[in-house]
Amino acid sequence: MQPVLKADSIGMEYVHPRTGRSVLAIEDFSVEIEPQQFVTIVGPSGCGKSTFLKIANGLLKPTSGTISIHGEDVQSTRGSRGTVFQDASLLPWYTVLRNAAYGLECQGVGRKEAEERALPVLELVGLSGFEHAHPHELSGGMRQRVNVARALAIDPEILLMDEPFASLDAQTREFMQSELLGIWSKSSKTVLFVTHQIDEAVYLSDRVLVMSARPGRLIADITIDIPRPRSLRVKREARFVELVGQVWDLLHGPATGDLESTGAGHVG
Amino acid sequence: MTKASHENQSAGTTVIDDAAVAAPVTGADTPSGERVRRGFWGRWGMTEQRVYVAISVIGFLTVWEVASQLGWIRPLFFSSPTAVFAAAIREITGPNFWNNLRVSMLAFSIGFSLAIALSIPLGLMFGWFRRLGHFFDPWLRFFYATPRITYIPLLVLWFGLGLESKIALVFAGPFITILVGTLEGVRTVPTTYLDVARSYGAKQFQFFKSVLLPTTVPFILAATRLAVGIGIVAIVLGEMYASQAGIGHMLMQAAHNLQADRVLFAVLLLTILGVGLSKILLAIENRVADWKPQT
Amino acid sequence: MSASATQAPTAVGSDPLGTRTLRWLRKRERILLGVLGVIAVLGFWEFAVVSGWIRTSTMSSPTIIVDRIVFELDGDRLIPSLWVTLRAYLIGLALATVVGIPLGFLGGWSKRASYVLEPWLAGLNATPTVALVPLILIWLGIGQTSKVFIVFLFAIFPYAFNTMIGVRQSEAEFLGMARSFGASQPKVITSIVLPGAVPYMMTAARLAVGRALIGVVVAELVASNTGLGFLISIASGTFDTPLLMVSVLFVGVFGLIMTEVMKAIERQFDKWRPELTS
Repeated sequence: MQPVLKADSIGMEYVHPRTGRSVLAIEDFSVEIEPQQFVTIVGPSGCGKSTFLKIANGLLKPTSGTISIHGEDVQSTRGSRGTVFQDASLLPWYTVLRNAAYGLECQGVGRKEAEERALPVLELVGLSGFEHAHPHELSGGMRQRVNVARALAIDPEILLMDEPFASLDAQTREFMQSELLGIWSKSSKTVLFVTHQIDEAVYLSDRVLVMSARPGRLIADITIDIPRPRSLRVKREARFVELVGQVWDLLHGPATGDLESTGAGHVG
Repeated sequence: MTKASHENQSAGTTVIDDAAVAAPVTGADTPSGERVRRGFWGRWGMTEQRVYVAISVIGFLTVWEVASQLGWIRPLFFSSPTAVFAAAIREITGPNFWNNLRVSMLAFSIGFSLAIALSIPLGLMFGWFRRLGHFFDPWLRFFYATPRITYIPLLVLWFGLGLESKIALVFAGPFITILVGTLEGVRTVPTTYLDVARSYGAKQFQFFKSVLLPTTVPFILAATRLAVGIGIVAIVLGEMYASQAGIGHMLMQAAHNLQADRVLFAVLLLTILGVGLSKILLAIENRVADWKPQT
Repeated sequence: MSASATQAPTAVGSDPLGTRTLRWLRKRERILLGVLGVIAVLGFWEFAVVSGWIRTSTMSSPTIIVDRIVFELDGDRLIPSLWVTLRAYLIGLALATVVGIPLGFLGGWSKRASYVLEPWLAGLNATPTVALVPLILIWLGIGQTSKVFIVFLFAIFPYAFNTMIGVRQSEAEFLGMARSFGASQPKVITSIVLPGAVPYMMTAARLAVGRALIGVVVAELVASNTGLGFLISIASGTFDTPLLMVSVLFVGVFGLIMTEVMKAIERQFDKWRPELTS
């Protein structure tokens, strides 16, 4: 099967604006993502995972290597990917419906048609009845649903999610994780998800890509073999805990038996 | 086109809002977040911004001068930078300038001091005795919303053309502004504080000293800074409207004689005075804001 | 009245009005005290004049002023003056809006334009606008044109400056979001930059409304032979205190109405202000 996203030895080098020295953010990063796969990149802060997402989005041009979606260069294609942002980034002057339709509008679809197409997506993310509310009337979790809906509405080849639950409280975050799995299974999209939370990565994904600290390099590609559908109860199963521990060890070096390795520890 | 938003938040990030008494300064000025350009200009300490500002200002002055010299614009109407400079020299060395300045400054300092001395206690009182404040609220609102310059003819009618009417003018505008500012300041103190203070048996005076005054002072200072501008406008306009001396009188005289260069000199002078005064007050405000613990 | 039946026995037992009435009064205390304040001051004024403590010729009196309003409303001075003033006011204000907002937009959107504009805007802000009036008299003479221009000059600054700040404050998140969805430049401007600047423009409009009023009165006081300001000037010159008071009252009430209306409109847009917590 042809991969949806194919990155080939991506490298990203910055010139520090003041010192003038060059900094290597990402080094020789290659990955292929199959259709309908849920792939998560996990790594410490500043490892370049968000940078890679921006490259996949065509917002940044890598200094070396190539990246394509369905064989087409990401720089030349728009609309093949939908991004879900860390901050909901909803426009406060638009209704929920208009916000969900905003991505389509940006791509030149007329307002009316865009809203018609966004309507079923709002239903999918569980926001029926809130079409005419304004963002300030929504809770944090609901705003993130609109954020997801906006990305889904453009019917992208791949969904890019940049720590979308980072600013939610712990309970809402867990709830949104399981909701996301529900939405994902219904929409059957390919997802590239970025997070620094190991348990979130393991719970959601088919594959977890572990990145090292700067320069960001791929140090492991772990297949998560926990059967789907997964309920939140999965997080207490032995296999889940084992996988979380495995990722933790990769990021922190082999565990010396401390308590944190059993839990869903934060990284960085 | 480049987006000027986030790299450059220097100049003025505060929105001007002088009608609803300005919020007090809550900290030192935001540091200029501008990146220094490397290369040729950087060696001279020039940022891109400074280059453009210099081009803008020098360019305008040059075009003005050249246009005037070549007769594209009528020097009589529009003057020229060098003519304004010459007028400034002529005026300063002339017979009436220092007297005019003295008359204006005298009226301003007396009127403004009176305004401060009366408005702050009254504002505190209206805020402290809440019912008294509500009793006078409609009047305060009315006087606050009326352009204060409207009272000029009335004050001239009452006090004549001399110093008294000018003092009254400089008093009237700032008085209302500072009073309302002080009152707003007291009203920002949540009533729950008052209740807490009472439940702990704090004496009213103690509360006044420890909570009320510290919260109100920044408001008073902000309102005072605002009032400086109002006071200057009042004195200038009052003198323009009816008087025998003062900077405003000189302005109007120059206008009647079609001396654009003299008018521009006076405008420049007033701008410098106004900016200087409000800079001083801003410095005091920042000082006070530094003392205050940030909450 | 049933109010007395529900009377609380201890707390306000001595109150003849009853608790419910009292509660009603307390809820409206602010307004009632205000009304009382207006009546009391007017009453005192009237009483002071009637009993001869202050002279009618300098202070006039509420009844005289009311009489005069009735008289002037019938006459051919006050209302025509009002119209003349209003026309200059509205034209000047409209011009300031139409020129000031695009100017501010330019300064906020383009960094280079802002470098060029800012020294002049800062200068204009610092200059007492009143001092520029004589200059305008030299340029345009006395009349409707100079009046409109003076109003324009008074009102343009808040528009230009606040719009500039508003545009500059566009949320970086929003801009990045629109870019990632492939929005065009015009789309970004119409859907993010301009709506985001609307609250700032509304604040500007409220300020401009007040400043324009100052402008029109100044213009008419020193450089006009028509309008409400001129009427004030005439009244002062002829020691016609009641007419002076009436004119001042009209200006004040107009200012009050405009400011309150603008405040109410402004409040409508408060929820538009983007908040960073998501």
